[in-house]
Amino acid sequence: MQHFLEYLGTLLHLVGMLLFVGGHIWFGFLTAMTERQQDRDGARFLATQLPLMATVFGVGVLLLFGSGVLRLFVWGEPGLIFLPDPYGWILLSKLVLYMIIVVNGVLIERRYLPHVLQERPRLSGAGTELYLTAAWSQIKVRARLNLLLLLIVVALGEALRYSRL
Amino acid sequence: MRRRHDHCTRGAHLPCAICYLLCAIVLLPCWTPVLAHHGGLGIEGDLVQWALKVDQWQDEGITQGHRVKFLSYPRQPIVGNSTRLVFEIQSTATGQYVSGLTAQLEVQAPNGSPRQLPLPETTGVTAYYETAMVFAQEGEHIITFRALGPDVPFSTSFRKAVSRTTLHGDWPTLLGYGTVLAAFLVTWLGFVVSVQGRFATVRKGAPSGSTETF
Repeated sequence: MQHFLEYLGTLLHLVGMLLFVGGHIWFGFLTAMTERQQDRDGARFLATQLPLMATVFGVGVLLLFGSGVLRLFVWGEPGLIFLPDPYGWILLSKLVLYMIIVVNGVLIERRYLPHVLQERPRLSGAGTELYLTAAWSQIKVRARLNLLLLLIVVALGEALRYSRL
Repeated sequence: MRRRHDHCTRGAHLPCAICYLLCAIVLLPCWTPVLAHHGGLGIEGDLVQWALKVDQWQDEGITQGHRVKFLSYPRQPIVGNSTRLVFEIQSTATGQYVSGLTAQLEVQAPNGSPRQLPLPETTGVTAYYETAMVFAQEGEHIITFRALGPDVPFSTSFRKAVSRTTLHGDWPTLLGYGTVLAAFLVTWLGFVVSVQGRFATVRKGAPSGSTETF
């Protein structure tokens, strides 16, 4: 049972990473492409898909946190995150960055996403344009910040494998 | 324009705050004193240590030319639960592991009452002495390893705090629980805020799904 739960936790963690980290990578890549190529249709498409992306990212966050906590409970060490071992400090860093990422995501969804959804063009065809409002800029900046933090978290996760200090 | 200015001002503070936090995280392990030597044997069959690949010697003492490494599993002993007390003996002069000792363990409870236990060498593992013990009292215990060495007897002592429950541990334990709890609260808050936002959008009649076409 323990082995199964550990396997399940790892599997869900990987799926969560695919959704959350992979989604952020794709979002960052596509926004950079639309900016570079002045692709209005692409930008409009991204704005259209923002709610779906927010949902996918939310599912990814829940999977990541749930599977991470599941593995901690399966291991069952008092203290949960193995402090004061080096492993524990790395895990603590991961959790702190995770909280920043989630708060940043909440800000994106609550403060900036509604503005973008209100300001996006209603009609398609010639003359329509996605105005690069402050809210849209903030979403891009904060999503990139989240991507940066996510990559650090992934690197810390890899460092956990080699925390034999 | 005003809104844009506000966003830029807030945006300028956030990266600075993130940078400070990252620096603090990087420096945090440097500030922590190294209390124990990590190295040596792991506990065979221990799923946690197998998964973490972390050696767990928690303390060591050098006496009469011998290095005595010590660990307890679990790290934080709980009153009423069995705790494994493990020792590994090494010669400081040659670095060789010392087996064949007649070892004994003396555990002094916080109220001063001593208790003696035999400490047999684990079969098949050189210089590896282990016993299991159920602590009856909460507080700091003094654990003394005594051995009749080939030349001179030697002994060394370690201190181990015993908790009443896993929720009343030392500061690393509490910090660990607090961090996991904070992460859970942030996750829950984010989930609730997200769901509320979606319902609010639906009530207002504004589109929020991905099926809308432009």
